[in-house]
Amino acid sequence: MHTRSLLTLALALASSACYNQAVSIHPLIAETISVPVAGSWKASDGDRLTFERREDYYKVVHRRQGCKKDGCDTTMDVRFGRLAGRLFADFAPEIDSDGDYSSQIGYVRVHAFARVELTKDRLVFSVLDRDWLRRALEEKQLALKYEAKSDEVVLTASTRELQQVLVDWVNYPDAFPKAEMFSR
Amino acid sequence: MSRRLAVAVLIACVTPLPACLDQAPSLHALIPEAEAVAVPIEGTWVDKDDLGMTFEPAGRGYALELRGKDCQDGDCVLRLDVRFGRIGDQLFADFIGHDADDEFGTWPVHAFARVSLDKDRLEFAVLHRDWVLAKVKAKPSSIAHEIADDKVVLTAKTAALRKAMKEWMGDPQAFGNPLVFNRRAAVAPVAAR
Repeated sequence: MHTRSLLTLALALASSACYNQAVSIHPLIAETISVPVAGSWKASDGDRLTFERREDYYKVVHRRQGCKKDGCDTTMDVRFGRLAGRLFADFAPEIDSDGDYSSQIGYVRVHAFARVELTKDRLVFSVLDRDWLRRALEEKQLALKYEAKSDEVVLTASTRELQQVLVDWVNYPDAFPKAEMFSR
Repeated sequence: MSRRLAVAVLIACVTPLPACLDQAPSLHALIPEAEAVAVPIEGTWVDKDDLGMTFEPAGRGYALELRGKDCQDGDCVLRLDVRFGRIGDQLFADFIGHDADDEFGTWPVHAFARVSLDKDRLEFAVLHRDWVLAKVKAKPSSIAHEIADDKVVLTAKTAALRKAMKEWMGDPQAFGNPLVFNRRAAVAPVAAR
């Protein structure tokens, strides 16, 4: 996969399985900390992310290169938090006054997690990898609550349990294998 | 907002379909493939608000298309997969999103409904999320679950779900108000009229 943004990973996502983010019923971060991320960021392939602060989260709009109309934007809720000094992000589909994802028949809203590096002009996301997580859970290298369906797993561990383990997982090189970079 | 969610919300806003009936979601099926039964449901059914449900056989179950009153093309159709099966003498439906694997931020979940099916009349009553939430809050060990965003998600495996449903199906409070559909009469060809 070439230089797609995490949000492309995360959003465009006509096929989440192709982009390999691990998913969780519970959030990693319940309430965001303030980070200097508001504004617009551009990936080398031209995709743009625009962050806007809301009450206890950031709204991020992903616009693909070449997108000229509103219909091809994707919007998500993002929460940032520090675990043992490291910055992480929690992505989930937006919930707004138009709809409550969790009440739609056939689907529940799930979260994806990323390690984040943020400087004044540079933003880097590395998403928690689904294949690594599945293998590690199935081989019992990790002790964490999950459910399996076909070839996929969804984490069911609580926010607190997730926070305890995510810090260790950054030491596994395959856990966050791809870095996606953006510039101001 | 994704197109699929927009469709679901659109339909949910204009019709009392299961999407807005607070069904309890489950990570696992109530009706495993091996237990699925065929029922005489093929065709189109409509409710009093002109919500249309069209069932077609697909594997051991059915493909279901939900379509609101003013929906004319494929962009406003919500597609689900449905299996029917019996627990005791009671017929149940097990719904899951048809393309639930293909979008970021969602996970495919099942929703269950008690079903009454006569020749031309179909009733669904979904297992109600608030009732399940109250149940597990009163007795957390009653069934495996998670509570996220103050909403319950059942995580029990199929065998445990079926065991629990045997107890729950006798409780009228466990299910929402039935949705009533009538079979849409097939349009007779002009020559036959």
